[in-house]
Amino acid sequence: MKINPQPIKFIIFSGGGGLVFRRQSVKLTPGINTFEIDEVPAAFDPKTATVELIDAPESIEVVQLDVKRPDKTIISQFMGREKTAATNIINAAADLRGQSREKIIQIVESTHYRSYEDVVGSFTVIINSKITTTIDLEIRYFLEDARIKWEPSVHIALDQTSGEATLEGFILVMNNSDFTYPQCELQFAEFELAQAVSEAGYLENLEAEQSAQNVVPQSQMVKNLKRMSRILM
Amino acid sequence: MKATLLPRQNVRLMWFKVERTKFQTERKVEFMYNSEDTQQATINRSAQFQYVFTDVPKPVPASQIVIFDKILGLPQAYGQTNGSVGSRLSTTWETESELEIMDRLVSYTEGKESIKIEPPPPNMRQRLKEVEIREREDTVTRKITLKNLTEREMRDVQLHLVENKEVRFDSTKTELFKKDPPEVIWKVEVPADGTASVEFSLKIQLMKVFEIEREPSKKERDLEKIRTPQ
Repeated sequence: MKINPQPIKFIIFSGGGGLVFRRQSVKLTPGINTFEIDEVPAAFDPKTATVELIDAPESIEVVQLDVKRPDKTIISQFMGREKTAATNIINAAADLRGQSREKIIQIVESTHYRSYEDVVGSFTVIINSKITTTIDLEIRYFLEDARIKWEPSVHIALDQTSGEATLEGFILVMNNSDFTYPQCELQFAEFELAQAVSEAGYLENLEAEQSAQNVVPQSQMVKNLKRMSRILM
Repeated sequence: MKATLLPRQNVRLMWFKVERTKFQTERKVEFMYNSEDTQQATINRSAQFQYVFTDVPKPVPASQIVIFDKILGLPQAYGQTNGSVGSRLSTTWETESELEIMDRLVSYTEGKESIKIEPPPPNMRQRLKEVEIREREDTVTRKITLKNLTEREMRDVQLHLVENKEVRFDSTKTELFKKDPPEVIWKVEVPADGTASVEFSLKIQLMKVFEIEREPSKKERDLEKIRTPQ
């Protein structure tokens, strides 16, 4: 069965990416229950993806998780064609001032900037239940997408005469992915990083890893985190 | 905090707000000399400043800071912070343009030169006869004048003199705030649109080493004659 648990919490990391918590109530019947999770970005880290059955009785257990990222080489070929099509739409458009202008630009922009991290991965949860019941299923995964990041900014108004100031702190959250996180609890974690994240993101060398065919998928983002400094809010 | 992150959108979230918090402006001038520049008539120096805020309720990581003038409501400066420590937040040190600093020579007195003759080191005995060391201790008096270009008094402007092996601090007419070698620190109040100065003396250790070459022996001279064609 396909399910689409809603993001309930997203801890965004200072170097980009973060930890996503998604939860949904699911109905279980006696025997094997298979749930295919929808809308899991290919940027999820299959090595660290976990499932938790909230307040589930002992007669229910997770049998296995099937996790897989799509092949980056093949996806890149598809996306290359889509980008060419988007450019052709703009080039061939005689007049883009009509009612659909905004929508067309949105689609073209989305296609133009689309990257491997924007396609969906495969995440299936197989649960064995001895009873019929409804439980809360929570999935957690690290998102290795450097295009989702945050940056703090502080505005200070100084009154030199009184020696007093007003401090205002803001957090700018950038989501340059194709995924939406609606009304989700956001937290911002600051980490010391082993090295600065390149502009190409964490999955730059994924093609080489996947084409080897004998390499177990490796976490890229998690191993770059040296030490957590603080959580902002 | 709950928020919606839409695709390819940036969201600006309010994080905290503190009103009527106290702040201080810290100013400092760090300087050191070498045997050459102590004799220079005038040296232009610049101060650095930072704002320090106390009672900041949230831990702030390294961030950009936009500083506004509360009365004018306009941006005044754009700075950075390396992050808060406890409830204390300070900006990074920036160049202070409202404080003019002139470092002038008052007097320079050459000391008496002492000459020491020493045998050459073992590996140079073939070539050198001896080593002549000439040492002198000069005394220089310099005056640093700080000019406040604003209408507000500048309190606790710190002057940090850093000593080195050539130039050592000797004495000062102005009261010292702290002497913690190799640093000597003064704290100065500079009145609004006025000046303040600090005068001090330094000792300069000058040492010159001359290598005196050995006279060739008779045998060496004879050999040299044979080698050199007439």
